[in-house]
Amino acid sequence: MTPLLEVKHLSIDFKLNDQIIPILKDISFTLNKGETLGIVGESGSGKTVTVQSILRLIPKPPLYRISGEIWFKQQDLLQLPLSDLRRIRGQKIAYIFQEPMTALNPVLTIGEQISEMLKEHQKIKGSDLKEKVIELLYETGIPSPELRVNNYPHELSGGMRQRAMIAMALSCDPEILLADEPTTALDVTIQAQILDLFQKIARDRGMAVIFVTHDLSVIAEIANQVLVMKSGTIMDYGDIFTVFDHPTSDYTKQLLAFI
Amino acid sequence: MFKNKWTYLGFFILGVFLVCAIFAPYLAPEDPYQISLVKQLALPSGDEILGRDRNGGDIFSRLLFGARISLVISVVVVAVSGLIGITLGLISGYYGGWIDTVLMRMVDILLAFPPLLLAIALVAVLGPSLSNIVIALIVLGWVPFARLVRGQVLSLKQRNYILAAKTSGQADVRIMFVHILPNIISTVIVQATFALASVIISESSLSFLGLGAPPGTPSWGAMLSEGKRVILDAPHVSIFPGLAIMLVVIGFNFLGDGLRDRFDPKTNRL
Amino acid sequence: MVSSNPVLSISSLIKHYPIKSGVLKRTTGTVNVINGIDFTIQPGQTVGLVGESGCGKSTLAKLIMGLELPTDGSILVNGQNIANLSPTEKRSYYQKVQMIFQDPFSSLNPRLKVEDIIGEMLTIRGVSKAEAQLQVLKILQSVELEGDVLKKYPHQFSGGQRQRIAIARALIVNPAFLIADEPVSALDLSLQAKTLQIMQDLKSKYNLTMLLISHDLKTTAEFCNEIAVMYLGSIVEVIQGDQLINNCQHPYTQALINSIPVTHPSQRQKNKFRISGEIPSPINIPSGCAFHKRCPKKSSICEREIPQLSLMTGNHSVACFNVNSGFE
Repeated sequence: MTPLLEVKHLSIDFKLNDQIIPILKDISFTLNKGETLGIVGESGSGKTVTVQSILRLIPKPPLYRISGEIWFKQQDLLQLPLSDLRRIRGQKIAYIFQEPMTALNPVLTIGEQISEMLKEHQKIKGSDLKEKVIELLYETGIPSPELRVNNYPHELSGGMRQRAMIAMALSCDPEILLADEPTTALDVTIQAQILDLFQKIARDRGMAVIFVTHDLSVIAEIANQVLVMKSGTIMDYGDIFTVFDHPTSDYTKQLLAFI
Repeated sequence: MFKNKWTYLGFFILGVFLVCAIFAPYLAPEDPYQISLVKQLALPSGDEILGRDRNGGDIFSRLLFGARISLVISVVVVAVSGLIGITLGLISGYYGGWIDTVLMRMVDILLAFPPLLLAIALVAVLGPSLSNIVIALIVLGWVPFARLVRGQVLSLKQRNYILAAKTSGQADVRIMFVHILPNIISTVIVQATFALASVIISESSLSFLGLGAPPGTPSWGAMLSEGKRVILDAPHVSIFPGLAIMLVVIGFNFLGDGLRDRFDPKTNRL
Repeated sequence: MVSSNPVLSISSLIKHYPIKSGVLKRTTGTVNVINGIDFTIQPGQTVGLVGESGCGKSTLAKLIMGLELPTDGSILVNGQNIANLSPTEKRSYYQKVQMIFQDPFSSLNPRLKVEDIIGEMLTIRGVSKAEAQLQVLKILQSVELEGDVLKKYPHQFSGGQRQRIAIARALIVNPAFLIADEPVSALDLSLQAKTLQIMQDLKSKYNLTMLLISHDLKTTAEFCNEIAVMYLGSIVEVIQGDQLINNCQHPYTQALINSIPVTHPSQRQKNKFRISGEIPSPINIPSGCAFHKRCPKKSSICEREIPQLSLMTGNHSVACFNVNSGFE
C-alpha cells in the first residue's frame, strides 16, 4: 500500500538572534490511510515544528533553511506553489491547535466560523450550510448543536471549544488530520472524551491522524504507530507494540518508565 | 554599560544642555534681558550667532539662560508629580477598596477638565509666575502616572511571585517597593519622558498667555511663542528655541530607553 | 490513627464570590467555589488533593495561606485560627506554613537575583545578609542546585530549576507545613519525577507535613499517604494513597480513574465507561449531590439531598448515597 504521507529527510534550521540553530535533523516517517501516528517528545523536541512544516506553517523568521521532501499524493508539499498548497490546507490536510481559545476567532460564532470554511472550500450555500454545520457539531459530540451554532467561543467550555475546532477541521472532509497537543490543556475526564472522539472520527471517516503530544500514555491509548523525538531527531519509530515492548533507544525506555 | 549606543547620545545631548544651563552666565555673550531696538530680528551673523528676536535680544544668550528654566521646570514637575502619582497609584492598585475608589474619582474629576484650561484657572488663582506654573503642572501631572501605575499594579497583583511575597511575611510597603515597583518601572520611565516633553510645551503655552514668566524671560517655550508672529519673515526666532526643545526631548527619550533596558535583567547583557 | 493535634483542621469551610453587575453593582449571583468542607491533616502526613478544573482546590490553598478570607467556616493551623491575623502574627504564621506555586515561570520575581529571592525570607526576619547567604547556599544544595547560582536571575534557569528555587525559598524558613499547588504540572515528564523525588527527600529530612494539590491521580497516589478528591467545591472521597486506584468507591473518583489513559496499548478497552457531559459551572451548582447529573448510580435521593462524607472503613470516607451498590 502506498503511504498517504511520506516525509523524507526533513531538516530545518532556525535563525534566532543571529545564530543558526538546527531544529529538525533528518526526520523521515510515513503515514498510511486510516492510521493514527503519535509523535511524542518533551518540549524542544521538534514535534510541533515537524507537523507544522507539513503545511508549511512556519514563518520565515525564525525559519531559515528547510530541506527534504514531504510527499502527499504524488506531490512534494515543500515544493508546491502557495496557491496549490492553499487548496490542500484545510481541505485535504487539516490542522488542530493546542489552545482553541487562540485558534478560534473570538468575534464570530462557531456556526459562522464553520460556515466560512464550508462556503470557501465546498461551495455549500443557504440552508444546506446550516444543516451541515449542525451535523458536524453533532458528530463531534456537542450537545444541543442547533443552539450551540450561535455561541461565541468564550461561551463554551474548554472541551466544547476543542470539539468545535475539531468540527471546523472536519468540515472539508480532510484525508489527514494534524492534531497538535489537542488535549494537553484539558481536564482528564474531558481528555478521555476527546480521545474517544478522535478514535471514532478516524474510524468512521477512514482518516489518517497525526497526534502530537508530550504524554506517552495518550499515545498508548490511541496510536497505531509511534514516533519518539528528542532534540530534533528520531529516537524510536515503529508500530506501537514494538516500540512499547522493545524500545531501541534509552530515551524511550526512560519515557516508558515514567508513565 | 548600556547596550544601546543611542543612549550615550542621549547622555551627551543632555550633558551639553546641562552645561549650558549651569554655565550660562559664562557662556552667554550678552545679557539675556538686554533689549536693542536697533537690531531687532537680526539674522544670524558674527555678532549674534543665532540671530536676534523682536526685542533685539541675542537668541543664543537667551537660549543658554532658557535652558535653566526649561530643564529645571520640566525635571521638577515630572519628578514631583511622578513621585506623587506613583505612590498614589501603588497604594490604590495594591489595596483596592475605598482608597482605590476615592482616588479614581479624583482622577476622573481632574481628567474631565481640558488640561490647559485647568492650568490657566489654577495659575490665575495663584497669580502668574513660573513657580505657580510648576505647581499647576504638578497638580495636573500626577494623574497620568497614577493611572498608569495603578493599572500595572492591578495586572501584576495576581502574579505568583507577588502572592509568594505576600506569604513570605514581609510588610506590604516592602512588597510594593521591592517586588511591584521594579517590575513596572520601565513603563513609568517611558511615561516620564513623554511628560518631560509635555511640560516644556505646556510651560510655553502658559508663558505665551502671560501666565508664567514675566515677558522678556528667556524661557524656550515663551521664545517659541514669541516667534510665531514673525515666523514668515524671521523664522530663526522660533526655529532655534524649537530645535532646543526638540533636542532635549530626544535626549530624554534616548536616556529613558537606555535606562529602561538597563534595569531589565533580560535585556541587559552585563 | 487520629491524634488530637492535627496540623490543619478545616470545618464547614465556605467560599463564595459575589457576582456584581449593573450600574449599582448589585450582587446578582455567586460563584460557589467551596461549599462546606471538613478536612484535617495529621502531623507528618502527605495529603493529596485532587480534582479537575473548578473543583476549588487552588482556592482552598489560597484560603489556607491567608491570601483569601473564607465566607464562612474556620481554618485552624496547629490550633490557631488564621482569620484576622495581625501583621506580626502573619510573619510568624508564614514561618510555619509555606507554599509552592504552580507556574515556575511566574512564581519568581524576574527582577531579583536568586540570592535575594531566597535570602529575603531570612533578612526580613532580622538575619544578617552574610548569614542569610550561607543558609541560601545550604538550602540550594539540598535542592540539588549547585554552582554559580546566587547572582543569577530567574530567566537564566529552566522550568525545573526555577521550581527548585521556589522549593528552596519555601523551605529556608524551616516550615512545619508545606502546601504544593501543582508543583510539577508545568514541567516535562522526566523532570516531574525528579522534582517530586527531591520533594520526597526534603519531606523526610525536614519532617514536613504536606498538602499536595494536583490533577494527576497516579503520581499523587504514589506520593501521598492520603488523598481527598474534590468536585465542585466539596470533598467526595478521602482514601489512602495506595487504595485509590483499585478501591475507590465514589462514582466520580471511579470515573476519574477510568479516564486516565492506559500505560500500554494492550490495556485498551473497547467500551470503557466514560463520564459524559461537562463539569457544571460553580455559579449553577446542581441541587442535592453536585455530581448527580452525570452519575451512573444516581437515584432519586441524589437530586434532593447533599450526601455527607461518611466513614466506611478506618481511613476511607465517601460522600455518596449509593456507595454500597455494585459498580460494573
